[in-house]
Amino acid sequence: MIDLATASDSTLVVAIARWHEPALAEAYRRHGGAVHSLARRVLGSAEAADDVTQEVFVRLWEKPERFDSNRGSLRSFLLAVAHSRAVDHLRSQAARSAREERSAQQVVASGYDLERHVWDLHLDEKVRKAVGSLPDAERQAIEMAYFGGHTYRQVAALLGQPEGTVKARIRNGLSRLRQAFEREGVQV
Amino acid sequence: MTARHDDCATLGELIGAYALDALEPEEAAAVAEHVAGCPRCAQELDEHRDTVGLLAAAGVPAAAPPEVWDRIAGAIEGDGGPQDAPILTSLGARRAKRSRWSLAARVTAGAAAAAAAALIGLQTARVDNLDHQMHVLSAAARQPGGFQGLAAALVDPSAQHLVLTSTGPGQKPLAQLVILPSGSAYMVGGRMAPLPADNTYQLWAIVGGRAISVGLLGSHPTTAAFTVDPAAPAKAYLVTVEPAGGVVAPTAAPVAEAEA
Repeated sequence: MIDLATASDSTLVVAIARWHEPALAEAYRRHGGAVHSLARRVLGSAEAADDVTQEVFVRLWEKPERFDSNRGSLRSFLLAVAHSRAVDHLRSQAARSAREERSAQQVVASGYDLERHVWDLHLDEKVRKAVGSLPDAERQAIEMAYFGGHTYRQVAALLGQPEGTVKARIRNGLSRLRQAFEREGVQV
Repeated sequence: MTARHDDCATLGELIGAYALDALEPEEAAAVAEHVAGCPRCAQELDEHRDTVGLLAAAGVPAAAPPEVWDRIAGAIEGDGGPQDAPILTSLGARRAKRSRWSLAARVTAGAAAAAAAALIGLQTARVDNLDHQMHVLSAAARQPGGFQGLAAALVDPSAQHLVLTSTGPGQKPLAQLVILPSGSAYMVGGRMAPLPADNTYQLWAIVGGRAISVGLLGSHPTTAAFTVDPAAPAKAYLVTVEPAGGVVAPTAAPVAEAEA
């Protein structure tokens, strides 16, 4: 039988596709912490992060074929799913709050700084350096959009800047960040 | 083509925000549609996604919280397969879908593979680590006694015997499957055409409307040992031709089949 501790991530996914629950447990052991941390950083709440983490792994169990190892690592795939689910939570939460006449800004901002602080404590030095090399305006737009879970339109409104400017800063900033990662030797 | 260039100008600007999940749903749908048909923008999106992936994975040595695993385990308990996403429902349904499968197989080999496969909903996952790959059937042959049980299985009156026949014209018999009530099983007398070294035959069991990989047979199989779950008997077995590492879901129409 498969040796879970040494199996590659792709092998785990093949086993998961065969409904092999211990393989899902191993995938969770390897990547559950990263998924939970990202969800917590975006959502600002451990409880909400628990929900997203559960969704991410139940989804892997039900639709393992969505993972394509030619297009990136299992961790990247799970983090992308986690981010998308976290943002969905945030936006439905924000919509609900808007109905309650609370501003979306308050909701998405709550707990943000604490989570950011915790996140930054663990940040890899090379990544910190690469991110730090971006022009502030680009870094800020990317961080607000990605870790704050805002749309680029919300970012523009929060910063009082034209939407086209924010859109371009995000795009240019990502290209610049890619080059910075390459320069710092941060591996995909 | 003019329309596409216009799209590149307007939708291309949104690709960065799209990679960050920072678009409204309508904008995101428009970008997704454009990217599916525009290799240049698809390339840019892939690059942004790689970058975002590094950013996402950067701050995270945290251990997976055990209490969340308990919830996950509870949620999947007894879930032997989602009913809403059958990859194959039955042999009949598979035949009806054959043209779609052939298309999937064709484009997977081509340059537009990623976008087209996403559209069709058939994505493949290559298995990179052959050393640790589960159920590489040829491994059974290398182990002493790998086919030890074969002779006994062939004469076991409780064994189920199935004939794998080609799906092509003439339905030629290509191999015999011998399946014991314990789940131990063998393929014998394989007469499939040899494949190029970067391809493999992959055997699938159809259980609960889903194709479950039983194992890789290699590029020129004659005899193979495998196991099936005796608690979840297969309705049928299929063989497809796949990239050498195997895939988690079939990407091509079956070349052989056996109904249980």
